[in-house]
Amino acid sequence: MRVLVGLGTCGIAAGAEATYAALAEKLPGLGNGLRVEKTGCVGMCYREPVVEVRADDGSRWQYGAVTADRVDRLLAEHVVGGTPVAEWLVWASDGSGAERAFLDRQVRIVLRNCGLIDPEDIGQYLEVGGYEALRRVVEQNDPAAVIRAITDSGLRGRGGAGFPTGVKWRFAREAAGTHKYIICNADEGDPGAFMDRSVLESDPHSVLEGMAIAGFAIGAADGYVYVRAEYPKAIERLSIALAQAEERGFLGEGIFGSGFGFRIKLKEGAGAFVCGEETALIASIEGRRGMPRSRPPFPAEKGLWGQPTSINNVETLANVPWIVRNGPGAYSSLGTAESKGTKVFAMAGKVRRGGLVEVPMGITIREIVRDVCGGIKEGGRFKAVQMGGPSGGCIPAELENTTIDYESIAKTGAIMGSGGLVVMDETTCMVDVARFFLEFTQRESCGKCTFCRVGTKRMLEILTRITEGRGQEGDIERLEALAELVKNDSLCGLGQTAPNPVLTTLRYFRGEYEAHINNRKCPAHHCLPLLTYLITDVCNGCTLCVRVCPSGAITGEKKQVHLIDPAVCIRCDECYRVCRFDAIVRD
Amino acid sequence: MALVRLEIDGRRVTAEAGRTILEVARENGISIPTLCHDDRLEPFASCYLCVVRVSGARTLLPSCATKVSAGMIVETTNEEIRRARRAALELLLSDHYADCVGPCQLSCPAGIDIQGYIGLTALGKYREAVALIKEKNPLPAICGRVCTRPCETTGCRRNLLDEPVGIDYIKRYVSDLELAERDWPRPAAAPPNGRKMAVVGAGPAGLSCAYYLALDGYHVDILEALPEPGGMLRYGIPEYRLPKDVLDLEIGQILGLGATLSTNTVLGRDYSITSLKEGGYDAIFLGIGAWGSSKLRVPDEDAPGVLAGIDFLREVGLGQQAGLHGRVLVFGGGNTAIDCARSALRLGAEEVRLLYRRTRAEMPANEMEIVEARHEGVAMDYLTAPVRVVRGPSGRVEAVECVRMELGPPDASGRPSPRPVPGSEFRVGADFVLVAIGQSARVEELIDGRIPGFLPPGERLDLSRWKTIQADDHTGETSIEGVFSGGDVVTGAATVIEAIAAGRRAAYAMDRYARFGHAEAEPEEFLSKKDAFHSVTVADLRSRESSPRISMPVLLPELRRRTFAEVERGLSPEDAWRESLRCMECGCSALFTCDLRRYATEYGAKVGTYLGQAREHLLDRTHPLIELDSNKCILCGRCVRICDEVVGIGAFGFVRRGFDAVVKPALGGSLLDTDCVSCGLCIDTCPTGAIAERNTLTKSGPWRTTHVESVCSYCGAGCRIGYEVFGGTLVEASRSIHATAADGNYCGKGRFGYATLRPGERLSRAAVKEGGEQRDESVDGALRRAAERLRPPEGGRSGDEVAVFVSPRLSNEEIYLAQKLARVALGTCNVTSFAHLVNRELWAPEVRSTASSADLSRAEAVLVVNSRLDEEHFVAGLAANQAIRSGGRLVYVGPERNRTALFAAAHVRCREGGQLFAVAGILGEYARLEPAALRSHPGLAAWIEETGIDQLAGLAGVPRADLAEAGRILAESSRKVVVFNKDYRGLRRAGDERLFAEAAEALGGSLLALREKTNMQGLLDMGVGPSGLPGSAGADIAGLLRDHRIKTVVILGEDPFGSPGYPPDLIEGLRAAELLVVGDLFPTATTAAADIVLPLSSTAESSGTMTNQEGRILAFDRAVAPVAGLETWEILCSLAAHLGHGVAMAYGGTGEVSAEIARAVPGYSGAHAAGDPAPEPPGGAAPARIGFDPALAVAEVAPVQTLALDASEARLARWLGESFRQARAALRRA
Repeated sequence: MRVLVGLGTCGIAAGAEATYAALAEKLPGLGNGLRVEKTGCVGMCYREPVVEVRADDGSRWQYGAVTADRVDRLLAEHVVGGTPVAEWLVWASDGSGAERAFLDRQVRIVLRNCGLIDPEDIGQYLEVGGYEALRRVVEQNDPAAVIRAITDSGLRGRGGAGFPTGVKWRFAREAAGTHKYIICNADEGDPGAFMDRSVLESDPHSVLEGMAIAGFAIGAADGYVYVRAEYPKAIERLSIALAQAEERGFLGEGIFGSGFGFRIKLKEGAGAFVCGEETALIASIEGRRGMPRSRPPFPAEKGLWGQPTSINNVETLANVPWIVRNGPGAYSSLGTAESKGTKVFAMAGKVRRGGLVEVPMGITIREIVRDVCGGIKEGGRFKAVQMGGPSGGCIPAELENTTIDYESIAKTGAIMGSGGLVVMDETTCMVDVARFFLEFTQRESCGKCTFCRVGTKRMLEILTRITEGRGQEGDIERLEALAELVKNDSLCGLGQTAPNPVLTTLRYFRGEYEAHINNRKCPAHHCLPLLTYLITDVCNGCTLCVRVCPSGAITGEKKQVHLIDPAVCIRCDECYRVCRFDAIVRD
Repeated sequence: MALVRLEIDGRRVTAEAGRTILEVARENGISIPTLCHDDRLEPFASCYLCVVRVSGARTLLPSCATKVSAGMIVETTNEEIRRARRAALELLLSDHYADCVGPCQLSCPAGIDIQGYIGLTALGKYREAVALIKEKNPLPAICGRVCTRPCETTGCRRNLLDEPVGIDYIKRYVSDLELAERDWPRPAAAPPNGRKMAVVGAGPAGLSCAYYLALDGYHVDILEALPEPGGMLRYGIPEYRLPKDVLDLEIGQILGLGATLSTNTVLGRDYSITSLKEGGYDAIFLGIGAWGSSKLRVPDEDAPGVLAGIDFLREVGLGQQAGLHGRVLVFGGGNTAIDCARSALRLGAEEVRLLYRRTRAEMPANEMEIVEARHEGVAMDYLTAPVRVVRGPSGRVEAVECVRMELGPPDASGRPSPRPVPGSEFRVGADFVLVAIGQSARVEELIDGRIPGFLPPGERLDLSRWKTIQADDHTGETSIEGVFSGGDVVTGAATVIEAIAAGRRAAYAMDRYARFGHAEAEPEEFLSKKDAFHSVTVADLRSRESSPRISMPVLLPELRRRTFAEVERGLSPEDAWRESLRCMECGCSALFTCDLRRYATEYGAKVGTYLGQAREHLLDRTHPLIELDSNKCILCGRCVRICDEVVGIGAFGFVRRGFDAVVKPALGGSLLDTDCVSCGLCIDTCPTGAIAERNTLTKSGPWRTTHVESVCSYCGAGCRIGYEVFGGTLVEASRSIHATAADGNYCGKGRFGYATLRPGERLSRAAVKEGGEQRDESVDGALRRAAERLRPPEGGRSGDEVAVFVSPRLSNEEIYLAQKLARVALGTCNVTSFAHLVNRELWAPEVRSTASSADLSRAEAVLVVNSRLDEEHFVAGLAANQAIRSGGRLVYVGPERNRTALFAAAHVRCREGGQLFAVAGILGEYARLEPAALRSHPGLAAWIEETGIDQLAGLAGVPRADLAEAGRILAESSRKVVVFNKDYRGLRRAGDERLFAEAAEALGGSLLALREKTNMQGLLDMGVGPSGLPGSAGADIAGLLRDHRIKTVVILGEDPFGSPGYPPDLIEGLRAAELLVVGDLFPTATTAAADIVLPLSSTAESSGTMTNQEGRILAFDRAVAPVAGLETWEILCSLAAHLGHGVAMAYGGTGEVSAEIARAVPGYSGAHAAGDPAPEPPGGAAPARIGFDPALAVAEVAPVQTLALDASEARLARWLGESFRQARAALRRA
């Protein structure tokens, strides 16, 4: 029997290392054949640390929220006693578990090994068929066939734009150049997105294998993984994986005894969101300022050091070995007419089960939010999802039957993006959401082109004043006009998509903007400067609010209904938060 | 390159595939605006001003980065594109915290270029200053006395620091000079255009209108009701403030343009609008002022002795007012009230008391006027208002009953409203009462029907609520077609300068009306203002050094009573100059060149559209030549890229991201901390004023300069440059308008070198030595003396005893004339330059360039030997950089490890003096790969074969593998250029030049032979070679000198005595001469030793041609007048004439000399105009067959240093060195 501890960054943050230490200390003493193992992240961020008990026959029990203090009971009841601890069980292979809907509805291709194998042990990757795909490709020695297979699978770039991966490879293969490159874009920068990090931390070899296959396909001998420096765990595991793969001869010269050689280098990004843009990423690897340039020429034609370069995202590359092994048909049988396979989403916001999910294309937003993720937290009302991070947009609850595929999502004004999906309820102010995302893009603009540099700044200024209750007549029109300009006249994707959150919220939630500007009200009761605080008759005069009020705006005798002077109130929200009787209302 | 067809703006054009839309559009004469593109740089696509619509594209595309393709349909302008461009400009402007012009100019109602004329005053250019003022204001001497000076009170930024600049004093100073100097050139009227205009009223508005109309060629009739012209200027402003003679002189200038004046001609009495219209005038201007006076509205106001102030002043002006005596009360607080009070005092009043209902703080009169009035003894009672006039027994005024006031809350005008204090009434005795509490226009009485037929039937003259004429603010149009108006009659009583401005604006509109049938306002130019963002602070000032304002000398108060003599005496020249230095030059130095402003004007951009937070920076003035103002930076990155891509230095970089991004010197500190080489290319490429030259003039305008095409005379590159000239002063150097991407750069010498050519240190007079002492002499006098002593036989010299030395920095024309002078007038063939007397073994005049600089920039392989491109041949280095950037490979042969070596694909690091063997070795290796290479060079082939490559490698001191690598690179490339410096200072071998030239031929490439001095090639071509003129072949001038056989020496532009290291025996030979005539730009050691010194002209001061190291003949034009009056060619011709050879050397200009050269010298027959777009090197004469002689090849030669033979470069180096030393010291202190 083995006990596996999920040691992704999210697990570690929840205390998984202490759990692992406790298990490592206690488990071996309980009997022979009992081992503690590390594994990656299974995706249940809302239930970390996740611990799996795996019987020798392959039966599995996954427990959620196993902090170190729960280790004793788990060991006593399950390992020693043989009875699973039902109240912590989230999923088990025998059909039990309180959260099984979360995993059962998923189709895991990219995440196939996440949470199952030890990412630091190449042996475990090999056990699940790792590097078989590379072997097959190299032995068949037909790069065109590889490109055909990827094209036939319908795989599209998972970094956001959804460009067909096979076509991209074909361009790079056909482009003239003395030395071609594969770059794995692991500069995951969308706030709230962590798909790539999780894959790199949980299954780094599948990405390396995907890169080697891509390299073989386009005729590249060198690859770079451009990974953001804020992902130390991913970098550590990638480095280990690289060393192991080189040692085993899966990377380097003469792979599988063939004439094909492929080397991979890690390049740490310096934390600029714009470096996720292909041309900026290339500039950054070349040691220049991470600033996009106009395309064409596309990197497939003139990329790194002026040579043909294919830049593929982590998730895209992790799909590749699976497709090679299972055939393009297995992949293309999933999904819709134009969007094949699966997509990983990082679920965040007001959803009950937040975490990483991989679902087949064609599933609806409603199914993801309600069925997979268990709906809205604490009985709130589903209002909207924000998809695609700062480049994406908000899709209102009315459109929850929209299917997940590139075209349908684009029709709503949002984008598939890299997979960030933020769920919102009625307490979310959509103007503030737009402001939040725009603040991000505005800060992360490289500063090169006029509309992105100055235009987003001016848009942000308008949004900020609206949420601060200083909106002016005409601001909505000004925003719309600027948004169109920034969208059309920016150099790279960052600027071209930066207005999306504003445009979609204006499209679906225009009334909220108008309320902020015309009535000086925030319908979601979120924008503090717009709120009026009132004490209702429920007040029993406990004086707690009087004591926390920093501006002395609240007066009232003990056991009498209190009063807030709106002229003195600074809208700090303190009283609202401390009142135990819901006597304070915000309007 | 494949060609594609496409359509741009409906035109079918053919273009090379791979070109951008922007380039192709420009080639076809369609201009697309761009701020971030420079044709020397890779497309950047950041400003988004160049967007165009390409059929089929979802969005507009940046044309600078979009390549043309077959069948493309491009639209470069439509409303959508204009909107997008305007938006881009407005976004850029919303973060452009800058002042285009100073706030002084903005606050001037007439918009006078104040910074411009103060700058000219500082430079002593008074005529230009007055001309600049008169572009906006034809009455500067009048305004210089009576203007209310909003430019000073609200405009001048010095108010933040100390006191405003005495702008008006300076204006008065220069315009008084103009009035005094009758021979100053004044603007002449355009030829009569046959149209006529009527101007009613000869006040400031009418006079101004008449002036500008007359300048435009209109016949102008001015009709004036009073006996003399001037209006309020004459009849409202007392003489002690504005002397009538000043008024007469300035009005006289206007009438001098041809305007006719009819006085005592009264509108409504003698003529009407109807009669004017019937009189055939194309347009009519009404400038009849506001002569009505407001009443006190108190009982018995009509008592004798109570007068309207304005009537009183008019009567004084007419010389009618007498009998004023006793106590005079003046009611009012404006300038008219003060004028009344001070006039009354002068007319004999015993006591003058001014009563004002608010306090002194609210008085609208000029501060200065109030102060002077008090000095003169005018008593002032504030918070006092009249209640009723008290009549004496005769019915005359005896007193005024007044009441005390107190101030209440502000009224509509923003001033506190006064209200009476009940019961505070008191009485003030008075013999006369002058009421000056307001004026009004008197139009109603003209048009209310009392005068039948005053207006044409059906016409109506609309009046405002205040009964003034309603006229358009910008054009002066009234409700009657063809009738315009301005001045007090429109605004109510206002200022002189407002009236002048209104008259000028109306003149512009009337001209358009007359010519095109509709009135049009003066075009409005975009002006960025810091004040649009927020109020500026001391931090915005260019300097924080306080300096006191010069005070105006005034007539002593005790002298003023009883006299109307002018109180303000005017500044002294010294004070005017000192005051002009106080101007802090708040306006932008790029005012006239800024592309951002030009496009903002063109696209009607408004600064306020997207106003929000703007980045603010402090001015960086740490570099002695270049000033950085990041506030003006629009992040186009051109400086960053030109320094990186073209220069290869990378002195600038982007710092921070997003909105906070900023361009800074690469390390974030000073430019002095970077590798900046001060070439100035960043200044030239900056589309705004963010990077500007720190001009060495005391004040640098900016002014609208004239561009003169010229040639830089500092080195053999002979870069085409432009000179920017204003008012006869060289303001700065600029890029030639014909510069192309491949050819059109320059270095710091080209950019900043003009500064040392300015008059300051130059030889400005001739000198003649008498009794061992030089004394100043006129140029002509010196030439006479020179001729006397040079003329054979009196000079007593045979041709053999005379030698003429000519600098290779002189123009072809000057050199040609010098040799002609020698041959024809001095009878000698001994003409050479000092550089030619030394290094004789190294001279290989037949080795000359076959490659152009552009060839170098396009080369696939470059072999560089005997030249340090990065240090000594900057522009050739840039061309080599460009070649490398486009994939070319550079082979560097030389012992140094310098930047050129660093960027080389192969560095053959031979030992000093081993270059010849290294190149031969490379050639040997090359021939192994390309066996045909040496077939037509048997001698060379044999020598290489004989010596053996291994031994050549040994002699060169390099591993043979290095030679092989270099050979391989050359064999792999097709376009090849061999570059070497003919004036290389390192250890050389006698045969190296010939070997390099043959190598270039054998490699199938071309040769670029670099030169140290600009016109070295021209010198040879003009026949001034190492062995003198043709005909004296073999004459050993050095030998003659050494033997002291030269008795008479003429030196033009060289300084052998100031050249350390020049062979002493030759110097001795010079000293042994009996007559030394020296011409130069500067005083030098040689001019100091001369018997006769002649001041020569610089390239900026003459026209002609130079032949640069490429063999390209470059023409230049005269930009400014010679410091000493005569151009060098005139001096030479004049000397010839004095020597009796005037006929042989009579030319009407350098053009005639050029023509003679064209007939005499092969390859010079093309026409050469300054800035000729692409004169190719003369291709006619094939270079002489090069003969490499192995026997001579290996001799080692250490060249004699010759640089200091010319003073100009040494001076420039010294000046730059000193500037940088001081700047670095200042930076360390900070």
